[in-house]
Order: sequence, then C-alpha cells, then structure tokens
Amino acid sequence: MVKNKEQLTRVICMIVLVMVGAIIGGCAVRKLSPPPLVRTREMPPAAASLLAEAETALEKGDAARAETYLERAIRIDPEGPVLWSALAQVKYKREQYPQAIQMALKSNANAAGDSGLRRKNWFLMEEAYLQMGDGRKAREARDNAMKEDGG
Amino acid sequence: MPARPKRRKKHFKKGFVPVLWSTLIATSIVLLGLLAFYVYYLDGVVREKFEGRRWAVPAKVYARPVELYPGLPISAEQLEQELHVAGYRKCLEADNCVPGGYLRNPRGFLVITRQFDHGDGSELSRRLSVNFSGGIISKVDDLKSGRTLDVVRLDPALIGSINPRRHEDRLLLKREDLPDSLILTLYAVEDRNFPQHFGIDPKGILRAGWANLRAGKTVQGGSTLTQQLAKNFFLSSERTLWRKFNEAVMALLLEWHYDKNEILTAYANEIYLGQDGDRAIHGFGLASQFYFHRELEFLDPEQIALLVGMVRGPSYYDPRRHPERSTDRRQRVLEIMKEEGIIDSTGFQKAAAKPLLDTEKNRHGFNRFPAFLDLVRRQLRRDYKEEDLAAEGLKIFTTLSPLVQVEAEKALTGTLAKLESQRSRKGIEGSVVVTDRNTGEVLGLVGGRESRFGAFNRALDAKRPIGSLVKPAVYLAALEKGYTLASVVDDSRLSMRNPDGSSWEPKNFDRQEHGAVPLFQSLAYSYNLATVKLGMAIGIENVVEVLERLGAPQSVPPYPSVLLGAVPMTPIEVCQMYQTLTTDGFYTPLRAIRRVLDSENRILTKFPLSVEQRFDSTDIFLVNTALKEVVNQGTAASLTRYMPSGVELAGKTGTSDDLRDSWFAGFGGDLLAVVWLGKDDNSPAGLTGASGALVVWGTMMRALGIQPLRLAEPAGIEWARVSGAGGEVLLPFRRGTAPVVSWRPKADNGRPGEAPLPGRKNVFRRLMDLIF
Repeated sequence: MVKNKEQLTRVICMIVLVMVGAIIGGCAVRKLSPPPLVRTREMPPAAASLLAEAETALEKGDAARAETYLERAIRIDPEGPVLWSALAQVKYKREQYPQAIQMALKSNANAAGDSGLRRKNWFLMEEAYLQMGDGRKAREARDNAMKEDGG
Repeated sequence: MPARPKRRKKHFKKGFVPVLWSTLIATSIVLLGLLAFYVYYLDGVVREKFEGRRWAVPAKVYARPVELYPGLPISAEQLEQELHVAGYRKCLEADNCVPGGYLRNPRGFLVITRQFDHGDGSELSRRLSVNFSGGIISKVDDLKSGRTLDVVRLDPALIGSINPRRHEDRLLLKREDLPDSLILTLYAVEDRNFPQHFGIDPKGILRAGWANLRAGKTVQGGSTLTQQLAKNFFLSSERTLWRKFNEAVMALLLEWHYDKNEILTAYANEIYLGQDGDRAIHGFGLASQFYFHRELEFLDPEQIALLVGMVRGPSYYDPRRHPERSTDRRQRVLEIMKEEGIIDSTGFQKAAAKPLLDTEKNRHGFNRFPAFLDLVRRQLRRDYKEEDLAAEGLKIFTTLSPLVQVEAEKALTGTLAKLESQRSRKGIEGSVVVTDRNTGEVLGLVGGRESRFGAFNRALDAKRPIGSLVKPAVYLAALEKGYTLASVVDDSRLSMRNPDGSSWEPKNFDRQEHGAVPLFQSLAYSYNLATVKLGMAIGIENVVEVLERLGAPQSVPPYPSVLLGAVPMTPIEVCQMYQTLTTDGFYTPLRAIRRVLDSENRILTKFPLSVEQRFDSTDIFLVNTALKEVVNQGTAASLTRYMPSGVELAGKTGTSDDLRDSWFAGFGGDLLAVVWLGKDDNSPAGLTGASGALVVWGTMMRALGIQPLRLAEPAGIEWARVSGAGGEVLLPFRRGTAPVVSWRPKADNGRPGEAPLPGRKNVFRRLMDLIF
C-alpha cells in the first residue's frame, strides 16, 4: 500500500516534471520518442550508384542483373538495410520467395532505427508468404508490419 | 611330252620380264594401297587433332575483381600489390602506358585497365586516376571522359587454370588477335614462304641446307610453320626420318583441309614456349602473359623478338635460365626484323637496349594459391565434369582476395618460423581461413606452410578438436534459455561419469576455481568448470542443437566433453559456424565461387549470396558482445598488441588437451578468420590459442588493416553496468532483463546457475515505462 502510494507520487511528480519541461521548451506536449538506436546511416556513394543501376535494371525487367548490382553494393556497404531490402524485392520478382523473406529479415536486423523500412519489409514478407501459400505466417508478417510505427 | 620343257622354257624366257613387272606393279599397288591407307589414317589424326585441339582450353580461374571507389580503405602499397597480382606492370612514362599498366604519382595512381567481360557486363579499358588520402581512396577519375566515378571494377587477376589431365595451358587467340609485327617476324624467322607454299617448302629446305653446309652446323631449319604445327601433334620429340616423313605428309594434309589463316592461328595457339613448373606454356597468348604480364597486342618489338626467337628451342633459349643465350637470340631476331623493315633502325636500337624481362620480381598470381584452387575445384566438382573443366574454356569467377591470401600466407609462415626459433619447437603446421564477415565469401585459404599443388590442405581436411571455440555455442544456448550476460554461473570443481563408466574431472586452464562469476566473464576468460556446469544446466542436447544451427557439419554426439570442445572439425567448418555469429544469426553458406561463364561469356552457374535466419539477432548481439570482452579483457587481450588503439574486435581462443591444438577465431567489421596451429602427428605443439593461433591472426589482421567491429544493435536492448574480474563493463540486455544493482562477486553469495530473470527493474525505469 505504502509502496503504491510512493509510486503514485513519483508518477505524478514525473508527469509534472515532463509537462513543465515541455512547456518551458515551448513545445507542444507530445509523446517523446527515444532517440533512434541507430543513427540514420548514409549510404556510401559507390553503393548508392550500384543501387541506382540495380533499380534501372529492375525497371527494364532484368532482375538477374539487378541482383548482381545489389550483391556488389552489399559487398561495399554490407550493413545497408536499404540494399538488403532491395535484394529482397529482387528475389521476390524472381519468385525466390524463401530468399525474399530471408533478405527482408536481414534488412530488418540492420534497420533498428528505420521503422518505415521495417514496415515495408514485413509487407514484402507477407506477400511472399502468401505466394508460398502460408496464410498464418503472412498474417504474422502483416501484424508485425502494423506494429511498426511511422507507417 | 618332249615339247613341254621347250614350251616351259619358252614361257620362262618370254614371261620373266612381265612377271617381274607384274610383281613390281602388284607390290607397288599394295604399297600404294598401304600408303593410301596410312595417309588416310594420318588424315584422320590430323583432322581429329586440329579440330579437337583447337577448342581444348582449360577453365580459367579468376580472383574477385577489385572495386575502386571513394572511401575504400586500402593503402597505396596494397593497391599496387593487387595490381601486380593481376599482372599489371609499372609503366616508364604516362604517355606509353598501355592497358595493364600503371604509374604511381604523389597523389595516387594512374591505372590503365584492361577491357574485361565479367559476365554481368563488360568493363571497357579505362584510363583512371586514383587518389588517396588518409589510408582510403578519395577520388577516382576517368581521364578519357573527364568524369569522376562512383565505383569502377578492375579486370580480375587470373589465378589458375583447371586442367587435370595434361599439364598444358593456353590462352586461346583468334586470328585477329595476332599482331602483324608478330606474324611478319614469325614468317621472316621461321618460314619465309608460308603464304605461298603447300605445306612443305622445297626452296626453304634447299636454302636451309645450303646455309647449314656453309656454316658447317645447323643454323637454319627447313621446316615450315605447317610442319612445325604437325610436329606438335606428336607428343614425342624424337628426330627420325620416319617422323620427318610423317610431318611432311601431315603438313600437306593440313594445307589440303584448312586455309592459311586457320593454320596460322592454330600454330600461334599450339606452339610450345616454355615451362612453369609442371605447367607447359603453349601459344603466344599465354607466353605473353607468362613472360611479360600483358596482352599480346601490347608487346614491344624486343618482346616479340624474344618470343619468336624462343620457337626454335624454348628451354635452350629460356630467358630466365639462360639469359645470355636468350639475349643473343633476341638480338639476331631484332636484326632480321630490321632487315625486313618491321622495325626501323631507331626502333632497333631502342629495342636492343631493353632488358630481357621485367627487372621487377615476378609477382603475378597465376597458380600461386594452390590451396584456394583446391577449394574451388572441390566446389566445382559438384556441378561440372572434369573433362568440361579441362576443355570447354570456362571462366570461373572466385571470391579470392589476393591481398588477403598473401598476408595470410605471410603471417602463417612468418609466425611459425618465429615460434619455432624462439622455443626450439619443430614441425608445427597451421592453416588459415579468411572470409568476408558479412557475405561468407572465402577471401583467403592457407592449407599449410608449404604452398604447392597436392600438398595436404589442412584448412579443408585436418579435423581437430576445437577446444574452447565451442564455448560461444554453449553461451548462446544459455542466452536462448533466458540467461543474461550477468547471470551467475558457478566455476567450481566437478566430476562426471562418462558413458563408458570412467569419471571425468575437467579443470580450468589455470587449475584454479573462480567461484560465482557473471556469465560474460566465464566466456571472456574461458572458464571450463563454469561452462560445463552451465551446459549441463541447460542440457547438452540444446548445445548440440545450437552447434548444428550454427552450421557444424556432422551430428555431434551429446557427451559432456562436447562442452569443452571434444568435437573434431576442420578450420573451414569452424569458420562456417562463426560466420553465423558474425552475420547477426543468419546462416550464410561459405562460397568460393561467384559464377561460372562459358567460353562466350554467358553465365552458366551463379552462386548467389543466400542467408537464412537461424537465431534471434538479440541473442547473437549479446553473445558477440561477450566475445568482444574476450578481446577487451579476457583470454585474447594480447590481441591489442597488434592493433591500433580503438579497433574493437571479437574472438575466441581455443586450446585442446595437452596443448595439441592452438585455435583462434575472430572478427572485425569486415573480416572473419579462423587460424589453427598444431602438429600433423597430433603430438603436443606446446601452444595455447593465445600464444599460437592468435599471433598469426593478429599479424595478418594488422597487415590487412582490419576494420573495427561495430555490432548492429537490435531494437529492444537496454544497457547496464556489471562488475566482473576486469572491472565494471557496460553490457546489453534484452529489454526488461537488466539487473537492478550491479552484481558484485562476493565470497559464497552466488547462487550458481540461477539467472536473475526477469531482472527486477529499478523504479525510475518502471516510471518511464509507465509514462511512455
């Protein structure tokens, strides 16, 4: 009981403190989001250029060539989540659904700070699971997509 | 009756000559028939050899192409080494630099790349300016177009060919690849009437005979190029009249079937021009690469003179073994070139003054890395037949980084020599596997101290107990079961029964007991007792299952001794397991080949990058953080000696019973490597993981400038300070499991094996959770 009271007091104190802080800061009080865990990374120009080549190849319907460009880009920037996500799309286009899912998962593993990209990856996984006829996994992927904020 | 003898006599008288004639005629017919049959047989041989051999081109194996781009961490020295391995040559001046040449300048390099078809697109020959600043490439410009390039791919180093049956090698040329100066010189020196004659050249024979008679020795040969080609169809080199006859017939047949251009091209590809170990150098194309590291079309007159001069006797005029003879011969050919107007007198003087071969040491990469080629061969054998590899002119694009390979070899041989001289050890062997930390591409592979074909490839074939390299699997299994890096484990004496009834009493390496310790410390300091207790608490079968998910090859028997690494594995198998750790828990199959092209540069097989998530990335993040502590404070702390400060790395030492095997597996931001040292006869090598394998690893990675490890932090991590033997460290925890108060070791306060899970949260954090 005592403990609960103490807690309640602390909660109220905290709320007041936060509100005061927000007002002093002249900001509208809104949900404070924690700083992104991973700084939004800049893609090295070499990888960006290869990604652009891959996109062009994909537009021309040459998914195989797009894949080669992306593999080269990933060797240059192996943790670039956008590159892995693009590779996931290429695998999907090539109807290699299990690998599309894996590449999307790999992208997510490197995209802790980019919920928009994670959301996109989950949707791609949903599609891939649907293509594979796995409705349950597709729903799970969709649920995960919805859990990501910023969508 | 009496008339009979008379008649007979008359008949004899009358019939003697006709019988003789008819016998002669009959014999001639038979002989002619035999000859015709023989010629018919030779015709078959000629056609089969000519048609068949024209296409027998062994598969060529290439290293991975170097990609140059701003930001690439590479030193000027390293780039120069890459260029050398790829057969690039230093130019004397910028204006005379041809494809395959480079020049160093104060800011960086001028590189003239060679046109190359990578199978996924052709890279044209470019004139590049590559600038460096602070250990990285700062700018790459295409001097022809004046454009600054984001990325450019060089032509890859040719590192070997696959020809298991005959030890012959060639680079196939087409007629249009043969430069005029070469052809004219060849005619002038070997066969003046080639364009006119019908296979044999009577005038040439007379001229040669006369010249030889005057000189009193053989100074000229009368064989036409066609005859020489026919001669090459025989494997023996006996000099008999019968063979001369055969050659002549075959030469006539060749001329009958094929036109001059076809014969000339076949000759240029067939002619034997030297020996490189057990590899015979055939054809001008390969000889040009072998002696001068450049394409035939870019040879200078003196180089053409040397090659044409060698036709007469490749071993007699071998420029490496007999430079004087070779120089004289080249001089003679240059004189002929001047007489024939192929070069003018200034060209002659310039050419005659040039050195015979490159003065710089031969550093090209051809067949220099047999252990890696062994891996490539084994991988190819799954998809291709030996005869296709030998004859179809395939192109194999591998993942080898010559730079990594060379440094790995140097570090291994150098360290072993030092270790042996220091403590009078003998006969220590070793092997190294280096991969790209992120993609699982094998960048280098050393099978032992001796680098030659057919040597025991320890990296692929030496199965040895992995010792403590198994431990990350035990701790990973524990993390999966809900333990945290701060969970308390008990490092105290224990005794167990083996399946055979004997008792097993493992000891710590330092023979001490450390009592209650946090989990990360137990891994960092490689405590055996704590590890066994932890493994038993979570169940050996769970550890075995984690090992298999990591990529351990065979089903590991679930014995307690497995927890301390009584599991024999090859270095490449260990590397596969650690690869799964380095790639955030995504199993990434190791690859040595990227793709295989046919002779028309069409892609036959691709070995794409593939991944499979087998672990939660949070668990991997936690175990990798503990592996960083191995280097920061634990058994691999001596690694800092090799690295500039601030280069964070992760790794694990391993030592098997009685110091028989010394292991180190470690990774940074870009590279993963596994090193094993030990003796082939399995006797003690007297080295721990840290005093042996780690030294090789550190030496190699310092030379390569390994990138620091930055572990990608997954979502849902919280951090807390935890005290251990090496002081307080900041450790990651799955959200909600961080300990409230830093855990401090005290005597007898530990409750072994019990994880504080879920961790009690402190009040402030609870408040924050409530609010946000």
